Amino acid sequence: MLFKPFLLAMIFTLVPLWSASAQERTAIGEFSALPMQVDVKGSRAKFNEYRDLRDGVSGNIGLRYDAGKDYFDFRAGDVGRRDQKYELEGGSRGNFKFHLDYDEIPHNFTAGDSPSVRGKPFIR
Amino acid sequence: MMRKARVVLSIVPMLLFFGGGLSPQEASGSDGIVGSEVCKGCHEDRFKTYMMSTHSKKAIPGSPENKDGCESCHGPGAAHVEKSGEGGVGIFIFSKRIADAKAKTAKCLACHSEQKDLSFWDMAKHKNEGISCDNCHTLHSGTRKNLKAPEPDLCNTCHKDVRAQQNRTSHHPIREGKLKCTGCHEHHGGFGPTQLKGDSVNELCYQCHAEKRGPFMWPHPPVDENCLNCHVPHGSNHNKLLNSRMPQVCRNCHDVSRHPSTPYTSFETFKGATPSNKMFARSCLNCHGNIHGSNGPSTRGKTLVR
Repeated sequence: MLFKPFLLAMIFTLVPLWSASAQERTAIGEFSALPMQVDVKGSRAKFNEYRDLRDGVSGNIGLRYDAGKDYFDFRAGDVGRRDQKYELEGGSRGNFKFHLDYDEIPHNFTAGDSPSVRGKPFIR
Repeated sequence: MMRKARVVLSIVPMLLFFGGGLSPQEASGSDGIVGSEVCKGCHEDRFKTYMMSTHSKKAIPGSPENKDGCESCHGPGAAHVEKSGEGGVGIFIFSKRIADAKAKTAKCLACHSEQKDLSFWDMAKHKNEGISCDNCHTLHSGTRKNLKAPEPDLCNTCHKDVRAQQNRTSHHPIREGKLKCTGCHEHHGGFGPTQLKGDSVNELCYQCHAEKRGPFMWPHPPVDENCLNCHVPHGSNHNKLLNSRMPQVCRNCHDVSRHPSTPYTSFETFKGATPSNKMFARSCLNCHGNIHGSNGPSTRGKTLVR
């Protein structure tokens, strides 16, 4: 569901770029998958306050195409996690440029931690 | 014989003037430009990084590549070539030792002056502090926006106090890469003491924290005045980026009125079998939960209880 708008934007961007002049054309692509095992000693909520580090695989994607005047840059980080990020940048130099950004920022306050006050407090 | 000698004597100064007397700059073409290929001969590594940058794109109208290549920024190289690469011959180098910030920035502004985000550069704090474009940007390499390092590392190189604050327990998600310095600050110059992107501190904060804006039936005046009355922007060792611990942050103003009028000390709050809630959990916020403003009816709203 999340990929749909980005995928459509990528297709519409790539079609005119591919027909661009062959001069200075550069295409770079990279994909990385990092297996992770997380062992937290302390507050899990604080450790993952703004991120989602847990056991599993974390993926990153980078695609870059530069045809001199026209360019296109797609980056994705922590794909499939709660703090995933997608960025699409492109344009025609001297004419127009666009930047689409989707960044999930989780904010964890607790993760099953017990409250610091037990019993019934009262106001003096 | 006399006539021949006179002709020879008049030809010699002419030759000196039009030929032998030519400076190296004039000999190598218009204004002493030798071309990027000549530069590449010696500075191959620098040339490679230049070719990776946006400056080298021929497709961009007005790019250095469409002008004089390397010499668009570094100046004519004929004299430099003539003296076998010797320094001090008019080659402009973006070095602190050789050129001052004003001269270096002027080189960049020769092309970039009409850029929208540089409209306020003349009143920028960075400019007034003697920072030039090349402190953050590189003319070469293919990094994003030709930055020397990604944010926030680049900003933290100088702003070490802010880096320390970012690493405190309660912080904005800057070190997690979810928020950039340029998300709040206009690094090329703007209004306000810290070049904020908003008209005021509150207007900037409300862009993300919209629920704190109100309007409320029962507003909390310090909130409307300035978020920084209670919070610090980059990081704090107190929860919620507070500038001091609860309840002291409330006690800064509420010192003699309401309940209680006695100071919150360890003697007051930790004595007895059951501790008071003044120092525990969310302290004052245990009851006054809507601290930024309330729309609750009657005194419960007025006292920001609900």
